[in-house]
Amino acid sequence: MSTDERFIHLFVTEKKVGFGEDAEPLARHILRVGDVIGVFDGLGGAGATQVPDENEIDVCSMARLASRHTATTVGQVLNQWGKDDLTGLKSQLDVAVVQNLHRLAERKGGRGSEPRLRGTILHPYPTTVALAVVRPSKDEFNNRRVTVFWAGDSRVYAFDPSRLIPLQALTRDHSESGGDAALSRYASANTLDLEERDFLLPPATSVIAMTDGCYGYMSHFRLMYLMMSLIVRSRAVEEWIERVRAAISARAGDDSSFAITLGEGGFRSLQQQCEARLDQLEVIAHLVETSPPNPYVLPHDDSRFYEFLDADDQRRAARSLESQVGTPAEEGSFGFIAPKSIGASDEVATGDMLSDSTGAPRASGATGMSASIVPSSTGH
Amino acid sequence: MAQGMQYHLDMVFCIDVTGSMTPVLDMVKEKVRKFPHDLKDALAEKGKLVNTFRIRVIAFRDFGNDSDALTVSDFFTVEPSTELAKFESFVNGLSASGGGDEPESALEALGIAQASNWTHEGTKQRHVIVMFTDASAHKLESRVGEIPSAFRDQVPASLDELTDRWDGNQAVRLRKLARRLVVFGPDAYPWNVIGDAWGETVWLPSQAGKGLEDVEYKTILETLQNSI
Repeated sequence: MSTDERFIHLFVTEKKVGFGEDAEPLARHILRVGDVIGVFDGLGGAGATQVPDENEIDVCSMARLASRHTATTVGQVLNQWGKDDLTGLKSQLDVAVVQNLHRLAERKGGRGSEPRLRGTILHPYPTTVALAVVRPSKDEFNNRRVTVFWAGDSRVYAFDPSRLIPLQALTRDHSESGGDAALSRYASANTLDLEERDFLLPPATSVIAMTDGCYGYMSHFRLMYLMMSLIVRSRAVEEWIERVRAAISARAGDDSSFAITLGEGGFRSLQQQCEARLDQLEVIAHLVETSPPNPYVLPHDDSRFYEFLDADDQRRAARSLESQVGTPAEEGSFGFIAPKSIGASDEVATGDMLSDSTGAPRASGATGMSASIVPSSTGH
Repeated sequence: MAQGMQYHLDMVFCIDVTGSMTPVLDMVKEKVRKFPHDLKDALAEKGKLVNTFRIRVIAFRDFGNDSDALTVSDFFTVEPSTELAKFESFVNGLSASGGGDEPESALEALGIAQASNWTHEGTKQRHVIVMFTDASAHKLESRVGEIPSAFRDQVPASLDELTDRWDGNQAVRLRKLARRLVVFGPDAYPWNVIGDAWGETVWLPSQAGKGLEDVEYKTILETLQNSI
């Protein structure tokens, strides 16, 4: 698997140019660390307070400044990491981000020009973080080992059209009650506690980080379909990214940012896989839009997220799919194994284990890549 | 053309209309009339379309002192604007008088606001309460017998119960996911408790918003705009 930088792409859009609260994504290859993609979305509600901007010439919202500074800080920490092992990275990120946001708050005017305003909605320099570090697993299958760190509702997805569920979230939003609720965890000048998960993905799987401006204005199926249909019509990866940007921007009422690291085979391979799957998706598009739970894309905010892929559910969903599209669905290609609860994932001994379609771990030397993501460690 | 999110927005204004509010009541009334328009415009800017917008007004004095301690409207539908004129007329009719001692019956008003017939339509709702007062509030325990029978079952017996309701204990239709509270009230009980402890709250410690500066008003609007 190549980790060449040419396989990493990004975009950011602002609904109101110059006032956007999404930072430019991190998307780069860092020596010894791996492919790094990250998105950062300043929280406009909690961080609406106006403060001096970076140059102290104009004013901007705390949210805008927070996302930008956090992106820079995370990039600096990773640039200086210098170790193959990511142990301890979460703590270092937590501390460095808070320190830098705190510094912003403590400068002259850093608390804003409306110091009288109080309340639990308002927080100093709030921003989401969703970061993925993607590296070769060094096993014989050349899998991709993905470590995700996040706080808030920006997400990291695995994208692999060869899976029955091509697009799956590897993160779970930190919101009080899911869905439309206020966020329960995010970075601010007061605190950050990134959640961390580790996954093993097949080599061809792409990894995407995106903010809620990308996924929040359409269904999961629509987002997946949009990415797959646009890649088929694109001649090069740059054109695809631009088409995705334009399509999301046309629908979104918010800023949006997106970064992707392509899997083995790069753009052409991904395009071919999408072509092979697109007809099948079109057949069932209306069904998945109207009949949750969606057998193709896990309803991320649904509590079934963690339960959906047990063996019985897989068989039921596979049979359901067969009846809808008239094509036998191999259980082995059904989908990724969803992240288990922290307790459950602790039972998986190492990151070098793959699981079979029933979710049971087996040695990585076994044939096939049927069940492709195994949580191999936790961040807590 | 952006595909906007569609919201069903309910807003309840709790307005202190005791005598001490006389110097600021006109300003409050102007803000109350203006607030829905400003918020709707702000939401539209973010691509958040208000599908239905209803407003209710609860004007309060002091149950221990005033026979007319409560003037309560039903929800007026202001989007579509079928009842906008009625809403504005109701607000225009409010006048300041009475009140007696300094604490007022604001917590009872907050309880009645919580117990409103909040919308559950659609997939995205917002339930917003906005409080304007220049005073502290009587403890709920001290006025139990004085609440008019029509509202008695809507008013909790203590601040703890009121807080539980805010936290979504299902006793009322108020939804935890949808709740927002904006308080223009002094740095005194219970606002200094609620402002720092209740979730999804923004509080301007002031005499009912007196001295509210444009920049503060803008921040409050943006806070709601971005958290709706």
